[in-house]
Amino acid sequence: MQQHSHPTPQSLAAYSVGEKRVNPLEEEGPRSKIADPCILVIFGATGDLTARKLVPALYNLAREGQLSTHFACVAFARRPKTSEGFRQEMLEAVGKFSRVQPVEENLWNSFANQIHYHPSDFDQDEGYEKLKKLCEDLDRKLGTKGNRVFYLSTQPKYFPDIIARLKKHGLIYEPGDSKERFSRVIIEKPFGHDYKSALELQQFIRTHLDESQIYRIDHYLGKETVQNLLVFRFANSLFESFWNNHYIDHVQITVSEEIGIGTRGAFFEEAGILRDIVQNHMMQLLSLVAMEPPSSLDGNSIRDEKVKVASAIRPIDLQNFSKYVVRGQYGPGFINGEKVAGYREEPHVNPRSVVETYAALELYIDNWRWAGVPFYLRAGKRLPKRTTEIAILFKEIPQILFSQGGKKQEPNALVMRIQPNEGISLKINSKVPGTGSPIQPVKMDFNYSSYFGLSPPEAYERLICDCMLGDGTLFARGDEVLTSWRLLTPILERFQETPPSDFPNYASGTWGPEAADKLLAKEGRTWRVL
Amino acid sequence: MTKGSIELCHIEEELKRLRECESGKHKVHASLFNLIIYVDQEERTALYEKLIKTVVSHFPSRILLIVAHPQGEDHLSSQVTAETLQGGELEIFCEVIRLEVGGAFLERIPFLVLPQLLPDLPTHLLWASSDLRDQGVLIPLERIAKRVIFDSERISNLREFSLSILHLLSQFHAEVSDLNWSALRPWRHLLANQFATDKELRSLEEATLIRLTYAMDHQNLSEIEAAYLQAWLATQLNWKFARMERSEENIRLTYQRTGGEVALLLAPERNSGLPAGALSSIEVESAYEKGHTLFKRDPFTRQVHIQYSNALCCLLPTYTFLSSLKADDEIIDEIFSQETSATYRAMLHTLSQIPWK
Repeated sequence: MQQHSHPTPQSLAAYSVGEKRVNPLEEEGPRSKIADPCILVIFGATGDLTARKLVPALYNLAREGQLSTHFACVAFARRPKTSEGFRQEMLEAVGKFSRVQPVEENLWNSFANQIHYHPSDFDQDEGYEKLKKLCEDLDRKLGTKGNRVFYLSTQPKYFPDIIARLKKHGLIYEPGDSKERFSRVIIEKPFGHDYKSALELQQFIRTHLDESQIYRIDHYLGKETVQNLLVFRFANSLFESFWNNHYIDHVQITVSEEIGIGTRGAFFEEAGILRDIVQNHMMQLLSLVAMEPPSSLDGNSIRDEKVKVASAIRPIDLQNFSKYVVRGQYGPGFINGEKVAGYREEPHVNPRSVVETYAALELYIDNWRWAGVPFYLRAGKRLPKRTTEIAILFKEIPQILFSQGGKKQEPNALVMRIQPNEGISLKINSKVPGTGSPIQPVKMDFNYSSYFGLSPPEAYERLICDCMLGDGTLFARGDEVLTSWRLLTPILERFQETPPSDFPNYASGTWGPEAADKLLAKEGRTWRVL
Repeated sequence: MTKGSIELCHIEEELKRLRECESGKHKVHASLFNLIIYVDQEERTALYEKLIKTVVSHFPSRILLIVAHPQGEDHLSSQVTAETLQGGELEIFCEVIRLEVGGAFLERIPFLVLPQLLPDLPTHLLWASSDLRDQGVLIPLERIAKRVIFDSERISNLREFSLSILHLLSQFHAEVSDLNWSALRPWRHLLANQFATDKELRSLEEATLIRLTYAMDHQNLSEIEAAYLQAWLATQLNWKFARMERSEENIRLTYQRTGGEVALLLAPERNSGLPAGALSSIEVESAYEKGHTLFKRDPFTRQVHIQYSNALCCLLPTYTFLSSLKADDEIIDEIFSQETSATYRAMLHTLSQIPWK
C-alpha cells in the first residue's frame, strides 16, 4: 500500500479556533447554519407531541436542508413497537401535521431510515444500556460524533429518574467533555408545579447537568411573532421613547382559546390555567414587552434582562387578593354556534372540580420605566375566539382641542397580534372628510401574511435546530422559571386555600367571569373587544 | 394590463384606475420593496416575466421591468399591469410597470425610473445583462439601489466577467448578489455538511481529482455554475491556480495544494434532464485512503445520491436532499440577503486568475 505523507496541521486550509477546527466550507451568516451532527432521543415518543410537532418539525428541517445528514432520531417509549411500525405511524403524522404538503416520498424514505424505535421503561437500567449501545452503533454508521440531545416529552414526574439514569449510564457527559462532544436535555413545560417543586427539580437537575446543557422549551419563544417583539422594540428608534409610564396607560396581554381541555382532563386537573399558560407563555410575553434593551443579542444578555424585569414585578397583595386576581371555570355554552359542555362535564374531570380554566391578573412592575402602569393578563379556555395578543394602551390626550359634546377621543393603541392573523396595528384618530369634522379612530395595520406570504417555520423547527446548534437564546433559563414561580406560587396557594364556591362562573363562548371586567372597571378601564 | 402603450406621465393615473376598478377593489396595496429588472435580451424577457410572478407570489412589491434594445431603433413605451397574490385571507395588489426602451433612449432610463419608485422602500436592481459596461444605465441605477443582483447566463469570458464584477464591487455602494452564486447555495450547503468531520475534510483537502458535471446547452455556454463552484472550492481550501487545459470533453483546471496537485474537471453532459448549466454530479477522488466520493443528483427531484468508497471499504449509498430549491427561489433569497458575501468576492478573485477564453 502506498504510504501517504500526512500534512502538518499548519499546512491545512482550515484554521483552528482554540482546539476546534473550523470547516472552511461553512459560510458566513445565520442562514448557512446546519444543525450539528447528533442523535436526538425522544423520551415518551408515542405521545401526542412527537406525532403532532416533533417529527413533522424534523422532517421539515430535513426538507430545508437544515438537518445534518449525520443525524438520527431514537424514539424511547414503553409501548412495544418496531422501528418500521413507528416509522409508518410517523409518516401518517407528517402527512397530517407537516406545514408543507404533500409529503415528498423520496425525502421521507431517506429521512425515515434515520428514525429508530427503542422500547423500554423509563426506570429500567437495561433500557439505558441498550440505548447507549444503539447510539454508539449509530455514531459509527452515521458519523453523529457522540453528540446527544435528549428530549423529555414525558410527564414531569419522570424527569428526575430519566436524567439520573442518563448520567449514570454515561449518556450525559460533563460539560467541556474532552472528546468535544455535547449532550443536552430539552425539558418540556411544566417545569415543576410550584416554586418549591421547581426549585427542587432545578437543584436535582443541576447535580447532573450544567445550566448550559439544559434547554427548557416554551414553544411561544419559537414563534416568529414573539421573536419579532425584540426586533419591533429594538430595531426601531421610534418606539423606545414612548415605551414607558409617561405615555402608556396600561398593557393588556390576552391568551384566549375557544377549545376546552379536550382529552387533557387528567393533566388539567393537576395544573389549571395558571400553571398551563400564565406561568410560562404569558410571563415570557410580559418579559419581552417590558424588559430593558439588552447589551447584546446573545442568549444570556437577553435572558438577564428578562429575569431583571420579572424580578421587579410586585408580589400580589394577599390582603387584597381579589382586587388583583380573578379566576374562573367555564360552564356549558356555545362555541361557533355549537353547544359545548362545561369543564366539569369533560372526560377525566372531577364533577366538583375547583380547577380554574380562566385567570386574570393585575400586575405592576416596580421600576422607573413602568412604575404605576398596570399589566392586565388574562388567559382562558372556551372563550369566544382563539387569539393571543399584546395591547399597549396609551394615555388619553388632554380633552381640550377635539372633545366633541363631552365625548372623549379614544386613546391610541398599539396591538401586537401573536396568533392568529399575525401582525401589528396602530389605532390613531383621524378626521372624517367633510365639513362636520368628526373624528374617527382608524387602524394602520401590518399583516404578516400580506407581506411575507411564505409559510414560516413552525416554532418547534426553530427550537430543535437551535438546541442542536447549542443556541439557548429561545429557551427559558433556570432563574427565569424560578422567578415566575416565585410570583405565582402565592396565588396558587391562595387558590388552594380558598376553594371557589361559584364555579363554574362563566359560560363557554363568553369573555370570562364578570369579576374580570370589574378588575379593570374599578380603574375606569375595560378589556379590549377582540 | 393596459391595452397598449400609455404615456409615462399617465402611469400613476393608470395604476390608480387599476386599483380602483373592480379587479383592484378589496385588495390590499402593500409593497415591501421596489424591484427594477433590466433585461437586454429579447429571448430572456419571457423568463423575467415569469420571475416577476415568482417574486410577487412571495412578497408584494412594485416591479419596474425595463426591456432594453440597445441595437434597436430609438423608442420608448410603457405599460402597466397588476399582479395579485394571496396573502392569507386577503388579496394583495402588486404593480408592474413595463418600459420598452431602444437605441439612444437608453440614456433616459435612470430618469424614467426615479419618479416610479415608491418612497421609503428599499430598491433592488436585478441586472439581467451580461454587459457590465457602464453605458449611462448601470451606475446611475446602482446609486439608487440598496442591492444589485447580477444574473449573467451567457458569458463567453468568465475572466473578464469576474474582473468586471470585482471592479464594480470596488465602486458600488450597494450590496451585490449573483443569482448563479445563489443557485449554488444548496450544493455548497451539502458539501459543507458532507465534508464536516476531520477525516472527511482531509479527504477533500487531499483530493487529486474533482469532476463537476453539468447540464449542457446547445451552445455550451452554460458552465458558469460549475466554474463558480470549482473556484469556490479552490478558494476555501486555499488551492493556488496552476494551469488550464480545454478539450472537447471538458475543461481541466489544475491547482496546487499542500502535498501535490488537484485537477478540477468541468464536464458538460447532454440529456441530463436538468436545466442548462445545473450541476448534475460532483465526484471527488482523494489521495487520502484512496477515497472516492460521488454526489449524483436525481434530475426530477432534489435528491442527491451519495456513494463513498476507499481502498478498504465501500459504504452503503445514502441519500440527502439539496435544500429547498424551487425554480427562481434564488431571487427571493438574494433580495433579503444582508451583505455582499465575502466568500463570493474571494471566489471571483480566484476565477479572475483563470485564463478563460
